[in-house]
Amino acid sequence: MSVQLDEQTDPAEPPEPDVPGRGPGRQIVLIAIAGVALLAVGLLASGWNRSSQPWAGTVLAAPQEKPDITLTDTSGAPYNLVDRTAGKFTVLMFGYTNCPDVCPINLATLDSAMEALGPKVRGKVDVVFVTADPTRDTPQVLREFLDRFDTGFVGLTGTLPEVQAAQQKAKLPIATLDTKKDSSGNYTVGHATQMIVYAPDGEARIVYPFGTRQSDWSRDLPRLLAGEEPTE
Amino acid sequence: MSGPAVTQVDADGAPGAPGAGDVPDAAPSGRRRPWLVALAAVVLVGLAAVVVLVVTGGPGGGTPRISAARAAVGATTAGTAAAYIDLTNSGSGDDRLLRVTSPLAPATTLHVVEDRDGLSVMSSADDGIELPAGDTVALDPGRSHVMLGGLGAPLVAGSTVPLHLEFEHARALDVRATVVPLEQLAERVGR
Repeated sequence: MSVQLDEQTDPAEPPEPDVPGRGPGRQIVLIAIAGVALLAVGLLASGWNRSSQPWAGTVLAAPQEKPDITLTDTSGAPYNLVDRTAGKFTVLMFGYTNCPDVCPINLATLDSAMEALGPKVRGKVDVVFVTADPTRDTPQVLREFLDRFDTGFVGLTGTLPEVQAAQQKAKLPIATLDTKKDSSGNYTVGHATQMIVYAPDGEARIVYPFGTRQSDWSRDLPRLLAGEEPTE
Repeated sequence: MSGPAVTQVDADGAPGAPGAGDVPDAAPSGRRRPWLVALAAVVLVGLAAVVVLVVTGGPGGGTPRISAARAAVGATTAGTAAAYIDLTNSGSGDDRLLRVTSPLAPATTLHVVEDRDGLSVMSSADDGIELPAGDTVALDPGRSHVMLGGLGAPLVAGSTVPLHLEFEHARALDVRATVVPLEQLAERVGR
């Protein structure tokens, strides 16, 4: 007859914890299941669906159509925004050449990001700067200003009503021109500082604020160019 | 015109203890010349007030102590640039930045920037920029800056621009601002 030894008292077996059913083997299995579950959640949350990653810009509640405006470019010729930038990504912004920081910082930051991303990106994105101060910003002045950043940046001017209509069509508040002039005859212009990005389908779904860093553009532009549609 | 009946004034008009030639007072000693006492009190209070004001430096109490950090100017080939700086008032009195000048820029303007209905509007800070005691005020892109106008030469990244800062109370500060690439200034825009 064999002696059935109680498992609890068998000296050859490792002592078990007081709670029945919680052996080390079972613990390992539970940990492994939890780990796989966490991994799955993590993958779902971050890697699997890239469009759920946040955007540096502000995603618009509803897409905005690219304004159908004809202004004057820096060569003095008429320039229709929809026709000339058809099928390209277009970054549209308004400003003025006497702007001490907002406009230069916006343009320099965007340009440095695009330079770093390479000519393939550069070739797919049109940057269009429309002046809100056409009195001072003639085509030549605009060209000189924009060339400080990139000779490929498009500059547009026109009559004051034309540039105001352009701001309206871009759904931006219309810039104010200060009546107070300093001793050199200079005046400040209050303007909207965001940059609107239109996709090749002619719709804008995302807007980038003043203060967008080079690193923000470097992350977002490739995603946009790859066809990712910005969603909240 | 005779004074109150109870007071006596010496021949030279100065208050004094009753002397041999005086008519003895009907009033108790010490209440000799109320108007003189009142005058003395006013003068003393006035002096005390002046002393307090001088010591405390006026409203806002205490003495300001200003230090500067992170002075930077955006690189430019145009005749205009913007300078930014962090100013810390570690003193016990409020102060104001009144004016900033530079030997490189004949025309400088202190600007503050406001968001008005989605428009970024710049205006000249005619009253300067407040520097409350115990605070650090950052002149940052989109908030405020010193506009340097009339530059005679391009500002190249890595060079420095001397800035002379004048305050309402504290002694002026001389700072060297570093010229930085414009895209670096995007990092200083508050979110």
